[in-house]
Amino acid sequence: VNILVVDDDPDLRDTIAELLEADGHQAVRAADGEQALDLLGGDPGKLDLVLLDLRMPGVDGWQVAERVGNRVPIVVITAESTIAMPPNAVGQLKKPFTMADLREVVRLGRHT
Amino acid sequence: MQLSLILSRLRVPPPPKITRLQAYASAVVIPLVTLAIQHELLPLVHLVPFILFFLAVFLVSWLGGRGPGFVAIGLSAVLADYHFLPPSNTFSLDPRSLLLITLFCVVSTIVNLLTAAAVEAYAEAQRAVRFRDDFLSIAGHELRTPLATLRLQVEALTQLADAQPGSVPRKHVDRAQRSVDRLIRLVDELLDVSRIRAGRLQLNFEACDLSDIARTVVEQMHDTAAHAGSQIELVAPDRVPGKWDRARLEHVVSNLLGNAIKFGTKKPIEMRVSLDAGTARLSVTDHGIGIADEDQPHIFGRFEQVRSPRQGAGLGLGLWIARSIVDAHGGIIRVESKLGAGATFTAELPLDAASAAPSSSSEPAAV
Repeated sequence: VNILVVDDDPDLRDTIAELLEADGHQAVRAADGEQALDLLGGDPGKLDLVLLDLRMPGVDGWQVAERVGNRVPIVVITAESTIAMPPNAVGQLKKPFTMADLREVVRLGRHT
Repeated sequence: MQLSLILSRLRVPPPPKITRLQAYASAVVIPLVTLAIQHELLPLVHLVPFILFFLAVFLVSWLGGRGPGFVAIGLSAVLADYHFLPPSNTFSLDPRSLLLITLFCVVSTIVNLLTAAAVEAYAEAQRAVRFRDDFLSIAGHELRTPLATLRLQVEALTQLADAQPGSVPRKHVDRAQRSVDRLIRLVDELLDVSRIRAGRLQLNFEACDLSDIARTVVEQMHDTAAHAGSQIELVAPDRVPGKWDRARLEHVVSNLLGNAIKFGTKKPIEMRVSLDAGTARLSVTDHGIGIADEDQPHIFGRFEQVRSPRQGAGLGLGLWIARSIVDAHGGIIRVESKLGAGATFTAELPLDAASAAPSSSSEPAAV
């Protein structure tokens, strides 16, 4: 599965990406919303899932989600459980999540 | 500093928001109204000619602060002199009148300054509380990102230690894992506190099972208990179904069990779940250090942690959060204990919390 990991925190982004790679997925990394939109604009057909942090400086997760629409399933990564979710998000990873949570949303995202 | 602390304790409610113009208008209108009222009460006026004007100054000062307060003092002095100091309806400037006016000005200036200071001190205290609550919330959320990384990395290390024994000593990984778990609980507590304080504790009532919750928590805390040298015995019927917020009740139960482990001095711990007459009951009993009679009324308060030599670390918020959650379910939580002989904490919950819970879940009244 090709997964785009969008998070402005480098350690969390790399951790998620490496764990996904260890599970045999392809992980593409984006450090902010702008990079994410560049990557998605190129050829979103190649991506199967976006893991998207909501709070990012500049272009934030909500804006990315709005631009992506329904072309690629989106799972949001968030620290707040009460936060407003983008309407097209298919799932939510609440920090601090476990590997099992991560695998679960990847499975869920793939079948959406 | 001392004075402002005392003044803030007076909890003078904040005045309605008004413009400067309105504040000065009130400084004119209120003494005039006072004049009219006092005219109706002439017999009283002969005793204390300024009596109602103190009230007027207080009111203006509360509404508009010091400046309008001084305007009201000046106007009141003139009005009272003209109308009430004998001889009436002239400006009396004899020594007795001047003395009375001076006295009025001095006392009402003190009233004015203290009132304005009390309003400000209380508003300042409330701002500080709001700042602290906001800060707790922001800090709690900020901490979650590095915590997420830490949790995943420690999990990866655990897997490595399992897959290649000897590569990473298991005991180090386990210690790291326990610390991560504790950090997560502490951050959750901070966030719960800021939510409860802000009245934003939202419960998601769903069909769930108290026996199942108890089993889950005992299972989750098995390692921690074993590490602390405590045995947990769970006595629970097959099912105690009800409508509650499952995640929050797990938090309550794990808090009670965590305390039992912490203060249980390695003696066995019993958890009991029962159901009778529409009430679900969960109790946790330890046989550890216990709680002195005089401390028992305080332990459900915020930031209360009874000091003792065997005291472990903690924020002292757990029981306050537990009580807030149980309260929000329309239930009660209580303790029975003897110093040195352990403690039993009991939570009682109505079976359908959704209909029994108080409509707004906010901070429980001060203890």
